[in-house]
Formats: sequence, structure tokens, C-alpha cells
Amino acid sequence: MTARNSVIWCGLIALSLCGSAALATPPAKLALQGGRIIPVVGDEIASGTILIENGKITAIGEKVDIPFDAMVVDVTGRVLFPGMVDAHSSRGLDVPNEQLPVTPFLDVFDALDPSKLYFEDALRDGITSIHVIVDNNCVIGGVSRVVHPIGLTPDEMTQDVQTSLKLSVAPKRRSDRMVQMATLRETFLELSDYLGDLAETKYEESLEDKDEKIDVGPEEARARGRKLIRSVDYDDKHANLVKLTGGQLGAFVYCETGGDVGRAIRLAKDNGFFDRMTFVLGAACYKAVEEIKATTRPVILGPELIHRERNELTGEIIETFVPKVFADARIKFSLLPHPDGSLGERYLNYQAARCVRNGVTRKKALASITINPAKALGMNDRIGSLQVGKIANIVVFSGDPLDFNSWVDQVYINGIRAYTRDTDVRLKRLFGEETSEVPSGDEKEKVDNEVSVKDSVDQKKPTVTTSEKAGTEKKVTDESKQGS
Amino acid sequence: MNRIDSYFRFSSFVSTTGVGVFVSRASVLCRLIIMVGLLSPAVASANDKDSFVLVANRVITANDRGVWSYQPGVVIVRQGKIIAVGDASKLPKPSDLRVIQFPDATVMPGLVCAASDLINPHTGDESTAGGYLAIDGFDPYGSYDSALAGGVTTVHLNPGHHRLLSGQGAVVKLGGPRDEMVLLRQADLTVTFSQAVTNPPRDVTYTSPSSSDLAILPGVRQRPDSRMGFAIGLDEALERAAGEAANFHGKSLGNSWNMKTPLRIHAERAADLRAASRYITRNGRRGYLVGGSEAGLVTELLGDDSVPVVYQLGLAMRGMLDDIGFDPEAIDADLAALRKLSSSHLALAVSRGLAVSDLRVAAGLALRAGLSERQVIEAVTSVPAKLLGVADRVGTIAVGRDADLIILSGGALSTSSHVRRVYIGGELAFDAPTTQAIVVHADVVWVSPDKQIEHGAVLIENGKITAVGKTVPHPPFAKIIDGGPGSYVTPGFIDAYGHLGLDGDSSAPGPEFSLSRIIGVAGEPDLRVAASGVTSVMLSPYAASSQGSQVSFIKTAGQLPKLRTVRVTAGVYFDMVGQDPIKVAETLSKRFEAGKKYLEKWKKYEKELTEWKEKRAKGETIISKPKSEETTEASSDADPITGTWSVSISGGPLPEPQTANLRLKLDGDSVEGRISVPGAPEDVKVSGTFDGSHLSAEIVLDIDGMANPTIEADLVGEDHLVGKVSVQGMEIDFDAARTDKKDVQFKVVKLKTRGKDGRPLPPKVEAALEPLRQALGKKIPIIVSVTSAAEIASVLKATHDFELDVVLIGAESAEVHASALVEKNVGVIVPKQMVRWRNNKRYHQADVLSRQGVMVAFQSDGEDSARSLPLVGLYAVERGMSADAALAAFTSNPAKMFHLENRVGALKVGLDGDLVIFSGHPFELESRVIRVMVNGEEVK
Repeated sequence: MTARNSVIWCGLIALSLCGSAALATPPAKLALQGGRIIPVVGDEIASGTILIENGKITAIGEKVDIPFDAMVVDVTGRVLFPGMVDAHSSRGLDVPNEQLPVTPFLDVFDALDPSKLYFEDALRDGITSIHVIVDNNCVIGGVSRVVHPIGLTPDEMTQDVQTSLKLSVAPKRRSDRMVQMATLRETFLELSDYLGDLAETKYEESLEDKDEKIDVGPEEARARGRKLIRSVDYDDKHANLVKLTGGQLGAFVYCETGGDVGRAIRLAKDNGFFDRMTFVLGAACYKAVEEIKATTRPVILGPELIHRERNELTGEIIETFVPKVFADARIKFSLLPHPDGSLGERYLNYQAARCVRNGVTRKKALASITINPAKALGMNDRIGSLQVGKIANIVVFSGDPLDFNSWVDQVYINGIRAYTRDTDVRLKRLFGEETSEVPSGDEKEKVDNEVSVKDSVDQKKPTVTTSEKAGTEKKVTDESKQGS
Repeated sequence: MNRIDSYFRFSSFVSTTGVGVFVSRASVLCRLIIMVGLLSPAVASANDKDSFVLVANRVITANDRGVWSYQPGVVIVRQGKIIAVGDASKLPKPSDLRVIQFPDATVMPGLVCAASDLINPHTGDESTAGGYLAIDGFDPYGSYDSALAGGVTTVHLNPGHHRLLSGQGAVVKLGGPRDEMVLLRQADLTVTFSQAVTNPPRDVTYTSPSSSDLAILPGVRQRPDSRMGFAIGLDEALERAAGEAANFHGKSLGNSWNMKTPLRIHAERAADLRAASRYITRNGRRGYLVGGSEAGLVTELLGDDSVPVVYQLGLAMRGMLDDIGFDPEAIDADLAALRKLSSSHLALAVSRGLAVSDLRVAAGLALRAGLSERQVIEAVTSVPAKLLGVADRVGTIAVGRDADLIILSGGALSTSSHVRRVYIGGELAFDAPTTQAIVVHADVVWVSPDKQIEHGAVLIENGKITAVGKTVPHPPFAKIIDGGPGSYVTPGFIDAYGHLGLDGDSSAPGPEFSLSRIIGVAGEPDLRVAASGVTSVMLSPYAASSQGSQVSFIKTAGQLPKLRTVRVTAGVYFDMVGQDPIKVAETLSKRFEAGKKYLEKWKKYEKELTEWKEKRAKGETIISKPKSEETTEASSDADPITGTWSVSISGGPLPEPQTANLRLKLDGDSVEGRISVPGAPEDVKVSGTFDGSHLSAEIVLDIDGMANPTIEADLVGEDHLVGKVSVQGMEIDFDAARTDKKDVQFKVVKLKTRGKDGRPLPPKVEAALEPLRQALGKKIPIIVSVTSAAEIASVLKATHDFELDVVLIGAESAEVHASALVEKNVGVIVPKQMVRWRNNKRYHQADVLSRQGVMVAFQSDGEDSARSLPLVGLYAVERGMSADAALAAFTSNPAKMFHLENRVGALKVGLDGDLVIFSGHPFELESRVIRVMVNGEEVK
């Protein structure tokens, strides 16, 4: 197959998957009837109905009066779960970070690529909201936005233009903490110099308009000029920083070690964005759990859930399951899927299941992939749970979301059926009968798919046609992946 | 309460281990309750983890204004601060604080390392950059165990020494309360005058986003290019910092300069040292020099009146690539300079590339230059604290200072001493890994009766002796105990016949019961015995059963029953005192014969098994014999027991008497038969022994989890057996009359002897004969209580026939058979009363026998009265016995008698770490037992 062919294949599949859903107009009223409902906030309903009107949940319960004109979908035996939220992902971008250390002027909007297979995967895995943000290898990164994994253009995908600026107190690659912190301090010092100069200029300009001469000292001139600055006056380099220090932008601050936490707090407090700060934490940060708890700021844990450390004297390796430490400290945290690899860690519900296995309560584990990340994004009024008034982002699982034999059967976004396993072209190609060629996407995904195809072929050859059986087949591959 | 009986009653409900756990838990609980009771007034406030009283052999204050050291000393800490320090015997200790005892250790202030490579230098290009803060590279949550293990509690952090002005240093603690770890965020301006800072990279400013207005300018050349540029470069930087257009680094430098932050200048060469010293004095600033390998050449500039020096000591031996360094003169050259610099302004630190954990060793090298211990200690504690500006917090043990203390196992600057604990701000920041290694030093190490080592040492690791000699290895973190002048170390004493822990229970347990099963965690009486120096006891019941009883070999101290038991079955004990000498031989022989048969069954099995294994290894096919054989056994002549018996059982749990039919057949002294109970579907096999008057048999039910019922009955008159049946710990009266003397033929179904794959199956284990099997296999001895010469002769004969090892207890007339005893290697455990009148003369049995070469041992014949056993040796020596012989009677002889030479009885590599430290000669009147170790753990 030629390269051009593969591109066409890829595009066709992407279109057939997302296109139909995104372009369809939602049914005005939709009822998902007969499923077990795990609303995350509130009690589980063993068998109930969710009524969706105009993309929002309007009723939820054991007995719901279904309007005569509602489209009814029977989900008996299925589990209804809030669409999961990935609170920090750079996989929607072409590169996770730029080379330049300080880039507050960047916006992920410019790099969002709706045709990335990542979004398709996210949808298939039950993730309905993705916070696209630059990765941790930066000093100050760009602004982020929250998107759905559906839509043909970045604008269509966008859920919230928010949102946050990325900062890191852990060193950018080939740098060190002293330089990192000095650069951060330098940036904010430069910002205040810039604002002073700008204010002075504005004041001078205002005098020039009136043909007057400067009558006060620079300090006073700056103070007077500050009031004259309008938002359009800021240049690109500083505009977002002004928003950050002014509280209009959130800050996602990456910390790698326990010591970084204190520096992040200090930096945030010194520069006025502490109240809008969200921690993005490496595994070693669990040591600073008390310090983190005292801040009451949202916490996002990195994809590595286990921290390993060797005692330098005894040589003993100590393993710490990080989410347990945070759960024990009664800190609400969000989990992230692993950005690379085809192992279970790339599924958010698998990450949550690991937490339960390691002693975190089921309730906390479920919250860590739904309502907690929604809260960290400031969107808990709209997403993250199944409650009346919230956006109808719903995942229909075949079983319990933390049971790894369950698969995502349907996904609803804004009340639109965005995904059904029955019509998942790629899965059909993976598990279908006469698969001889593999459609290839871009370089990385291609490799992933080839691996899984090979796995499944090795596992079982028999022909599977119905979706039900395809599901069973998927289960087998998942297990084999876990085992490998 | 009768403990053996109660054990049996107990055991029907709980498994053996269950009892052990129960006993240990119960006694731990008891002790806890007692302890809490004693401490209750103190409990209220002593919970603070940062308040305590620390008592140690020596407390070095490093305080040049107060008392330099106290011996023994005490430090009192409250809420992380030192509130008192002084002489342990004089200073009153607050009753509400917990007391930490380190009677062998030295306590000193946590070391202050005024130079370190703990964080990596920054990667910035600026030649003069005030904005880089070393504190940013510090992780308060990091693990600094290796530095703490070196005794270093406070370090200076460097932003680097690769630039003229690398940034600002910081001073931090490596542990303790998290919010107090940072002592100084901006401690100094870190300047370096050396070749390394010349020709820095060009400084490039990236403008972003760049545009036609904002061009990326070519990199700017920076100073210094040579030594001449050092001072100029700094001056220029200061000038820029003061100007309007100062950049970030300039502003940071300016702020710091105005805050009068001290100047810290790294310099090694004489010229650089001169320039640095001049720069500091010219600007009239506080400052100090770091490095100084050529400081000896410029001593006129350094010292008390001028600029202080943090002298970095290299430890050439620990270079990365070379074993002993490239410059053989390196150490001496260092020392020459040190000698000139030794003053109260000299701090010592490790050189670049050396871990801070080596500070104590590196500084110790300065002793060679003739610096006193006191000078060296100050140079790593109070002086650097002063130079870094943190003397009000750390560096000395004085009232009001932070409780940053290190506890060293030995001398402050000795190679063999290690940091055992570190407290920072009163919090335990480091506790040495428990290696359980203990080194015991003493004036005389009495290894074994014929060997003494003067000024020697014993190393115990994980409960075993791993080295003995003039010198022994000192593993890191080993606990070091010095017996002091005149001290003796001997192996732990053995009580060769005692009853520790039987609580007066004088019953005679059967041959299948081991006393070790009633052993729990060492309690108060056990520990009293241990503290007297008696570390092991041959635990024997007060009375032996007619078929012999087991004895056990136990330790007097230990936290687990498992650790206390040396050998579950250490011997088979018979009591033959006062019996007809002829009968003695007969009784013993009969018993041994039964044991021998049993042993042979096993031997046969073992032989078959080896053959089978060989065959299998060769790959031969193994013919599986028929699973079982049925034979019909014929009758023989009438004897007292063969025939049919009408049995009546009553009492115990039975509501009314029951009858049964018992058919028995005597063969030698073993009895086989069947018992049938009316209503029961089938006969049950009975097997046992009959010694002429006593029938001892078990009813072979073989029900899992239940011991077989046993019949113990005596022949009272002809054809009449009376005794007991015991089932599950309950006893039922047994009464049987013989109705037919003829032997009834019955089918005997032999157990299958081969497994599925032809593997021979082991014979049935007979608990009552197991001890004898071991004895006949020469693994354990037969122990016999005897008195008269005739009894002894009889015992010797019986045991000789069966080639058994024998130990005699008592044996007052042993002298008569002395030569035979020596020849047959028979041990004698002499009676408690060792000296008696014989033929109107004092007769000292232990002495007489040991002179004739007989192995003798001492016994307590008591429970916790064994604690006075060491006095027996003293008495024996006083009555003429040689000290070596007395020691042998306490140690090597009993070990040999019980075949435990590989566990106890000497200070040899591989043996248990049982030893006693005496203040003087063990058999001298004024000597006391100072310390006792059992299994490498000190008895307290």
C-alpha cells in the first residue's frame, strides 16, 4: 500500500467515525432507559433512566416520565457513567513543547489537529473532555483549551476556550532548577518592568494629546498611567502573563519532586495566581503531601502511579502507590492516562481500577477520573457527573467501569451519540474476518495498531462478525496486553 | 498449676504454635501494662517526639566558652531546643521526659560542612549572575541518609564554582522539622577566583518572539579572560547592578550587596588567595575564603585577625579513578598548610568531588598535622557555623541552640566508630540500619578453656559470632561495647541440669513430650538467670518417666520461643537412682532394644530410599510391589498378655461403663492386637509395648487432627490389667480381664510400603521412640541419674551394648569408674553439693574427676535459682579446681556432652553470640557480671 493510500484510508475512517456524529443534529429529546447508573455524585441507581433534552440532562432516576416524542434507547444491562475527563493532555498537539523556554504567547488552538487518531482513541476509551495543554518540558508554556474528541475543526471541538497557562518549576530539559527558577523570576520581574514602562508611555501619550509636558516623577507617572492601559495595549508576549497575574487565566504548575511544591507555591503567591493554581504532580511529590493539602488547590497526578526509591544505605527499594497517599490525606486528585504505550495505563478507568486495587475507595477512584478533573478545569458545573442540568456527556459501558472486562459500548457528547461500538470501523477492521491490510495513520499510531493487530491474530483466528463477539475479542486482547 | 498437664489439656484445642503465640502475647501484654503503670505520671508530656533526655558516655559541646566535654554527659532537649547540658551524675533530669541511654556512645553537635557538592552547579551562561539561588536546587524532601550517616547535619549549598559570580549560596539542615530545614536562603555571594572561571561562554540573549524590531544579537563576550579580570569583572558587575539598566541578575546582585551578604570566595592558588583576601578587605565586607590548598604560602594574610578560611580537605584515597591518589605528597602538603593555619578561624570541609559524608574522616586527617582533637572538632562544628552565620542555631551543644546532635558508637574521630543516630531539631533524623552487629572489646577474651586472647575483641552479627581475635572487623553502624580495663569475656555459661520455667511441676512427662513446647518469651525469672551469665539451660523435668523423658536445650533469653530453643530433644533422661543395679541394666536394655528395632525400620527405609533414588537417577524402571500384604499370624506359647481380654471402660466423659473385646499378641516386648467395640463396624488395630508388668499401647485410629488414644495399664495379678485410656486429653478408667489365653488368629493388614512410583514409604513415626532413635543414631546422649558405683557400672554396660553416648547426673561414686568414664567419653554432671566428707576427708568431686580427665559440668537442679550457678564455679576454684577446668565445666564440657559444640560453649566463629562480660577474672570474688549477650542481644 502506498503512503498516499494510507493517508486516504486514515481520513476516510476519521470521517466515518467522527463526521457522522459531529454533523448530525442532536435529537431534541433522548432517553437512555434501563441501565445501571453510576452518577459519581449521588447514589448509584441499579436500573434507571436518563432523560436528555437539547444536550442536557433533564431527569435522572429509577422512574422517569419519558415524553412521547423522546427517542428511547434501551441500555438494559449496560452501565451509564459520566464521560471521563482527561485533565492534562498534550497528545492533541504535534509536539508537546516548543524549544523556547518562555512562551506565554502560544495557544494550543494553533496546533490542534482534529484528524489525530488520538481523539478517536479517546472517544473509544470513553473520554469526552480533554484539556489540551502543552507538556511539562517548559518554563512557561502556552494557553490551553478544553475540547471534545469530536468535530472537524478546532472550533467545533472546543468546549471551553479558557483556560490556563502552563508553568513548570521543574527544570526544562538541559536546564536545572536554579536556572528554571531564575528564569521564572526574571520573567515576572520583566513583566513588572514592562508594565511600568507601558504605564509611563501611556501617561506620556495622554499628556501629548493634551499638549502638556510631564509634570511628575516616574513613579507617579507610572501610577497614573496604569489606569490608562487598555487590554489591547499589551503586546503578545505579555498579554497572557497579565491575564495570569490578574486572575483571568488559570495556572497549571508542574512539580517533579517534593521540593518543587514549595517553590511552586512561593512563585504563585509572589505573582498573584495562587488562587487559580492547579498542581500537576510527578510521582515523587507525594512526599510534600502535607504542604499540598494546606494549599487546598486542585491536584492532578501524573500517569506514573508508583514511585520507586532506593535507600542509599541499605539498597532496599521502596515502592509507594502515590494516589493512596493523597487519598489518605483526604486530598481530591485527578488521574491521567499514560500518554504512550499500549498497556492498560492508557485507559483512565484502568488507572482508577489500580487505585481501588491499592486501597483507595471506589468512590474516590471514580471521582478521580470524572468530577475531580472537571473541578480542576473549573467545569464541574457542566461536566464530570450525571446530574440534572449537566451536559449529557455519557459513556455506556458493557459492565462496571472498573472491571477491565467491560468495554465502552456507546458515548454521548452533548446528548449526541458520538460513538457506538457496532459502527466502529477500525475495530471492525481489527477484528473482522478478512483483514489482510492494516490502515495506517501517522507514524506512531501506525506502530501501535500493528502491534495490537498482531496480538489479536496470534490470540485467535476465528471469524467474528457481530459486535457482541467483537467485544469479547477486544477483551481478550486487553488481557493479553495487560499480561505482556 | 501443673504446667505439663495444663499443656495437654490446652493442646486439644490449640496447636503448638498457637500456644507459643498465646504465651508470648500474654507476657508482652503483661509487661506493657506494668511499664505503662510505672510510667503513667510521665506519659502526659513525654509524648513530644522532640523532647528527651540523652545520656551518653561522653558529650562534646564544642563550645569554647563553656565546658568542652562531659563524661558521662547528659543533654536535655525540649521542643527541639537544648535546655541543659551537663554531667550525667550531677544534672537533675526532668521526670516528664523520656530518657535515651547510650552508655558507650559519644554525643557531639551535628557536623557543619561549609562546602558541598550536594546540588549541581547551574547551567546558566552568565559570568556574573546574582539571580541564581542555590536554594532552588535543594529538595527538602530528598533523602540525605548517607550524609546523615556521616554525621553531617548542616551543609552549605553552592550555586557552583564555575563562574566568577555563580550566584547566592544557602545554608540548610539535612533533616528535622521540614519548615526549619532552610537556615539561610541567601547566605552569601558565591565568587570564585580560579582558572576555571576564565573564558566564560558568550552571553546570548534570545528575544522572543523576535522580529525586525527585536533582533537576536550576537553573543556578548564576558569577563574574566585571565586572573587580572577577577576583581575588575566583579566591580563591573556591581557597577551595572547599581545602574538604571540593570537586568535581573544585576538587580539580584545589587539587592544582595546592599543587604551586606557576606562574600564567599573560592580560591586555591596563593595568588588567587591573595587577590581574594584583598578584595574582601578592600571592600570592607564580611567574607571568607574557601578551598585554600596553597593557604600555607599566604598565612600572613589569613588567620585570627584577617580573613577566615574554610579549608577543603582532599581524601586522595577516595578519588574516583585512583586508589591512592596521584600525588603521594598530597596529604602531607595539606598538613603543612594546616599546621600554619591552625587557629580559631579555621573551618574544615570536604574538597570538591568528595561526598559530605566523608567530612568526619577527612577532618580527622588533620590530626596528623598536629591539630588537637578539640581544634579539629571545632573546625567542623562551631567555626563553620560562625562563618556561615548560623552559629546562633547550630554548631555547639549549648542552651538555646537547636538540638542537632549526633551519636557516635565510639570516639569522635576514631575510624572504628560510626554514627548510630542523628537528631535534628530534636527529631530523629537518622537511625543506623539495624545490622545487629556488636563488637565486644575486653582485656581478656577467654575464647575456650585453653585459649585466651589479651586485648581482643569479638564480633557478633545476626546473633552469631563472626570473628574473634586481637582485632576484628567493625562493620558500619556496629554497636561497640568496651568491657573496660581488667575485663574478661567468656562464653555464656551453661546450666547442665535445670528446670527453668517448670514452675514446680514435678510430674514425669512421657517420652513423646518435649519440654521445649512450654517455652515462651523469656520472662522475668528467665532474664534474671540470663543476667547472671547463665545463657543456656539443659531443661529437664524433675522426674523421668519409666520409659525415659526428653530433655531440651534452651536459651535463657529471647523474644521468640523459636529463638530460645537450641534443640527440642537434647537427650533422653532416665532416673535410676536407688534401683536394683541388675534391674537398671535390664530396664534400660529393654527400652534400648525397642528403640533399636524402630531405628532399624528407619534405616531399612533410608536404605531403600537411597536405592530407589539411585535407580531412578539411572532411569531404571522400578517395579511397584503390591500395595499391601495380608498375612495370617499364628499363635505361640502362652504368655502374660497374649489372648482375648474382656475390657470395661468407665469414668471420664462416659455416662456409663462400656465394654469391649481386646485381642492381644505379645512378640518380644511389643504388643500387637485388635480391639472391637460392640456396635462398631470393624476392629481397630492396637499396638504398643509390654515390659513385663506395664502395657503401653495406642489404639490406631489414625484420624486426622486427633492423636491416637493410648492405653496405659499395669498387670495387677494374673490376667488382670488396670489402668487408663486417654483420649483427647481425657482419661477413662480401663479394666480388663483375660478370658482366653490362646492367641486368636487375626488378619494383619500391613501398611503399604511403596508409593505410586515405587518410592518406599517411611515407617510410621512412633513419638515415644523418636528420642531413642536419635540417641541410637548418636545425635543425642542418654542421660541417667545414678549414685552408686554399681548403678554406674550397670548403666555403662547397658549403654555400651547399644553404643550410646551417656551423661551421668549426680554419680557421686564416679571416681571409681574414672578411667572407664574417660575412655568412653562419658560426661558427669556433678551434684549441687560438690564438696562432701568421704573417709573423714573433704572430697571435691568436680576437681577430682576433672583432674582425672573426666568431662564434668555444673548443674543448678533448680529453676530461677540457676542465677547463682556462677557462684558454684567460684566455689570450685576456691576449693582447688583450676580456673580453666571450671570454665570448661560451664561451657565446652556441657556443649560437648549434648553434642552442641557447633552452637554453644566457646567464642568461636559460627557459634551463637552468647557471651558474658565480667569486670575482672570470672572466678574472682570482686568480679561482677557487667553485661550478658544471648544470641547477640544484650540481656537487660
